[in-house]
Amino acid sequence: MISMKPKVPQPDSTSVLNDAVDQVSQVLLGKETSIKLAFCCLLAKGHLLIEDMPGMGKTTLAHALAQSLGIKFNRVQFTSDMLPADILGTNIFDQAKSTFRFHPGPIFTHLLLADEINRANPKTQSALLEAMAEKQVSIEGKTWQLMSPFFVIATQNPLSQIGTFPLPESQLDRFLMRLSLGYPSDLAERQLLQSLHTNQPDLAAVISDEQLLGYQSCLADVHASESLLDYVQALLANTRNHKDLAYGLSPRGAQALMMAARAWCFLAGRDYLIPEDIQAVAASVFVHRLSLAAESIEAAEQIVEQLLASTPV
Amino acid sequence: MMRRAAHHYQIPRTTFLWLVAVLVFLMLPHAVRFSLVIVPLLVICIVWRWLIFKQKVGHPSFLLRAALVVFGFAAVYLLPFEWVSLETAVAILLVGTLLKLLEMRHMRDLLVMSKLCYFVIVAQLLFDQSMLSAVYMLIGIALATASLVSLNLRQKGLGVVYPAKLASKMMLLSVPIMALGFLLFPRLEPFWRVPLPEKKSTTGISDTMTPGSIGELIQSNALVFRATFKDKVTDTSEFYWRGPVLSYFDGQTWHGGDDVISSVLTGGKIDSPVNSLAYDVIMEASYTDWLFPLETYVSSHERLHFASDYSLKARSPINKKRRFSFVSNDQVLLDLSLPDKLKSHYLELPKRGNPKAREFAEQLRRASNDEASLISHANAFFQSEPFVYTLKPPVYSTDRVDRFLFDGQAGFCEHYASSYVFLMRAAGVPARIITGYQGGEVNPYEGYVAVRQKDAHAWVEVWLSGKGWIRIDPTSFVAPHRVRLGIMEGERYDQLQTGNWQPRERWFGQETLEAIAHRYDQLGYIWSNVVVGFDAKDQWALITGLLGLTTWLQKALWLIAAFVGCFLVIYFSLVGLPRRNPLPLHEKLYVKCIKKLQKQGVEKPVGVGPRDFLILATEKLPDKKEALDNFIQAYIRLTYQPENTHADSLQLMKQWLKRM
Repeated sequence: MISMKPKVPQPDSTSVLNDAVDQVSQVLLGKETSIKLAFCCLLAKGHLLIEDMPGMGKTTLAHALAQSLGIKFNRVQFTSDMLPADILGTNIFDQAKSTFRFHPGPIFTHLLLADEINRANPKTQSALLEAMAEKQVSIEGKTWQLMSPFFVIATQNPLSQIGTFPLPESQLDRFLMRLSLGYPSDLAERQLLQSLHTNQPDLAAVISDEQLLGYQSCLADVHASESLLDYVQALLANTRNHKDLAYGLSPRGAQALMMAARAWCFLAGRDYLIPEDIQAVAASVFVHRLSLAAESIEAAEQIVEQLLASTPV
Repeated sequence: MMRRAAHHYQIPRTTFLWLVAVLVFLMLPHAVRFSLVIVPLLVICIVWRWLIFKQKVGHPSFLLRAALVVFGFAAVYLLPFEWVSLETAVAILLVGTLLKLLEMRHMRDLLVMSKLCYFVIVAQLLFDQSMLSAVYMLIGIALATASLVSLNLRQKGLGVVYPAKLASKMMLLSVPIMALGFLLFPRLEPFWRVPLPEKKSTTGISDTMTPGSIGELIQSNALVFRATFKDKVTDTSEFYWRGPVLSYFDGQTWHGGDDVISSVLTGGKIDSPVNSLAYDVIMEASYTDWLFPLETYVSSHERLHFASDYSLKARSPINKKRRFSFVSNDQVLLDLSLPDKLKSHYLELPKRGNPKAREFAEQLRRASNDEASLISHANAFFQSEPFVYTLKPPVYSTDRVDRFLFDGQAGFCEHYASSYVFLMRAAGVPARIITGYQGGEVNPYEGYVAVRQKDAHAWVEVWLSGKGWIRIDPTSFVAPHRVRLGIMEGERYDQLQTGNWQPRERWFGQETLEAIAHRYDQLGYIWSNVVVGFDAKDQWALITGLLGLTTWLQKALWLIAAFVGCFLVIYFSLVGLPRRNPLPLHEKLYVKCIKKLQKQGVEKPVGVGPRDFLILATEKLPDKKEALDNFIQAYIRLTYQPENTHADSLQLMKQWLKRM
C-alpha cells in the first residue's frame, strides 16, 4: 500500500487542534467549517474579520477560541468617539515617582476582539490596523512589542451603516480571512433552543500558547507541489481575467491564500497541499479582497464559487 | 589574484579523467603516423594539465601559449609531408586539440574540447576505412560522448564509470538512426576535393623497377585486391595479374615506354574468341591508377585507359576501395605483327655494359636456327646452371646482368626477369618485363582470391613473329615452387634446398590461427563489399527495391519527398519541434479513470479536486469504494506529494484502475 508517513505534524498535534475545534463546536453549534477556518486563520498568523448581523455568535466564537487556546483575551467595543490611545495605551504621570509611566491599552493581549470595527473613526482604525500589521505599537517615540501570538478578531455589522466608517480596501487586505457565520442549521438551532445555557460555559484550555507558536512554525514544512501551484496560478489568473471583477487578487492575497490553505491542510493532518485545501479556504480569503471589485459581498461570493467550479484541477 | 580565484572554474574530476582517456585513445593511430610531434606533445600537455588540475602550477600565460602554438606549427612543418596535404591538415588539427588542453579554463573550453575529439575521430576515416578502424572509431565516439556526458551531469557522486555507461547506452540507442542514415541519407559526391594521404610508392607496384623494389614489396603482407570469380577457384598458380609493362632499360632501372606506348580510353578492346573469364576485382586504395587484370584483359563495364602494351589504368587514382569488373581470356594472341618502331623499342639496350651477357646472347643466337630454339636454349641455361632463388641476393653493383648471370647466380624474380629480357634483346628477340602479382590466396570460406603485396612478381613477355607476345616466367625455371607455393612456402622450400632448412613442425594451434586469419580476412572482405562499397547506386537500388518504385514519376516523387523529409529533420533538429508537455503517467491514468467513471455515469465537474471527486464517485458507486479509494489516494500522493511517494504506486494505480 502507499506509505502514509506524514512527517511534519507531530502525532498528537492534529488531534489536539481538532479537540479544540470540537470544543468550540460544542459552544457554537453547527458551525464547524467556520470554526475550522477561524483556527486556520490563527495558525496562519492572520487576523480574522467576521462580518455578520448581531446575535449570530461572533463574540461567542472569539471568546471560545481564546478560552480553548488558553491565551489572554481582551475585548474592545469600538465607537465613533474612540481614540487610538484607548486601544494602544497611553503614558500617565506617576506622581509618586514624578515620571511618566506607560499604561498599556487593551491591545496588549494575545487575542483582541475588536467589536464593530467599522464604527471607529479612520484614525483609530488605522492605529489598530498598523499594530496588526507590525505587531508593535509606537507611542510618543517609544516602541512597544505586542505579545506573541497576537491575533485580532474584528467584527463588522453589515446593517445600520449610518455613522460607520467602512474599512478601505487596503486595510481589509490586512485581514487574512473574512468569515460570515450565517444562521445555524435547523438541527443546530433546535439544539440551541433546547439548551438552557444563555451564558457561555467556561472552556478548558486545550492548547498552550507555546504549542500554538510551534504549530505555526510547522506550516512552513507543508509541501506544495508543482501541480498544486499550477492550479493556484490558474485560479489567480482567472480572478484577474474575470469579466465581473474590476481587478483580481493581489500577490499578497495569493500569499494569504497559500498560508490559509497550509493551515487547513495541517488541521487535516496532511503535510502536503491538495486542491481541496485551496478550495476550502478560497472563499474566505478572496471575498473581502474582491468585494469592492464586485458589486457586493454576495456577488463576490458567487463569483468565487464560479471561479472554483470553472478552474480545472 | 583574488579576482582570478573568484572566476576560477574547477574542471570536474570525472570529466578530466574521461577527457584524458579519450585523448590518449584518439592519438594512438596518429601517434604512429606523426610520432615526432604527437607523442611528446601528448605527454607534455597531459602532464602539464595534470599539474594545473592538482593546482601545482598555474595556467600558462598568453605568451607561453602563443609560443607553444608556434612550436607546434614548426614541428608540423618539419614533418616529412607536403605543406598543403591531408597529413599536414590532420597534424594541425591534432596539435590544436592537444594545445587546447592547456587552454581549458571555462566550461565552454571543455565543451569545445569534447567536440574537437569528434573531429579527431572522423579524421581517422581519411586514413583507414577498414572494419577495425570502424570499431576503433565507435569506441572513440563512446569515450568522447562519455566525457561530454560527465561534463553535463548535474547530479554528483554517480562515479567515474557512469558517464561511460550512459554514453554506451546512448550509442546503442542511436544504432537504428545510424543504420537508417547509412541506408537512406543521400550520398552526394563531395563538393570539394580532399587531398589524399601521401603514400610511398613502395607500397605498391609502380611503373619503374629499380633493384630491390619488388624485394621490398614481397616483405609486405598488405592486401592489394580481392578477386571474386563466378566459379570456385582452387589453384591460383596460373594467375598472372598483369600490371605495368616495363620496356625501357637504362642499365640500372626499368621504365615504362611512355613515349611509344599509346593508350585509349575504352571499355572493351579485344574480341574474345572462346571461354572468357569474368570476375570482379575490389582494389584497396593504392593511390595509383594501375589495375591488375588477369592475362589477358578483354573488356570491362567501365571505361578505362587501355594501353597498346595491354596494361590497364583507371581513369583516376584509386584512393578508396573500388570495384572493377573485368573479363579476361588467356587464349587471346597479342600483336601478331609488330611495327618496326615498336620492334626496335623492345630491342633497345644501353649502348654499353654487361659485355659477357651480350657475348652469351650472341652465342645463343648463333647456336639456334630460329627464335623458338633460342628461347629454349636460354631456358635450358637457367635450368642447368646452379641458380638460386633467394630474397636476400648479394649486391650486384655494376654490370648487374653479367654479375648475376655468371657470378652470383642468386636472386629473385626481378633479377631473373630483367636478365632474361636483356639476353633476349641482345639476341635480337623483342622482349619486355611485366610486373604485377602472381597467384593469390583463396579464402576457404568466401571463395575469393586475396592478392597481397607479397605476391608481387615480375615476368617476361617475348615477341615471336606469327605468335605474338608469349609469357615466359624465368623464375619458374629456377624456383618452380615459388610459382606453385607462393613466396613464403617457397622460401622454406628454398632453405630445404640449400640445407638451411630447420624442420619446422606445425605447432599447436597453428591451424586455428590460420583459420582465424582467413575468417578475419573474410570479415574484411564482407565489410569492404557491404559497408564501404555501399554507394549511391546500391542505395538507389535498395530504395527503389524496398518501395517497389518502378516508374520514373514514382522515383522522382520519392526523391522529392526524401529531400523535403531531410530538410524538415534538419530544420526541426535546429529549431526544435513544437513541444507539448506530455502528461506524466499518473495523470494519464487519472484521465483514464475519469473517462471510465464517466461511462458508468459519474461525471467529474471541472473544478472538483481529486478528493472531492473520490467522495462523489464513492457515493454513486459504493461497490467500487476500495478500488476508487486506493486509486485516488495514490494519485493524490503522486501528484501533490511526489517526493515521498513510492514509485510502485503507479503499478498499484494500474491494478486498481482495472478493478473499476
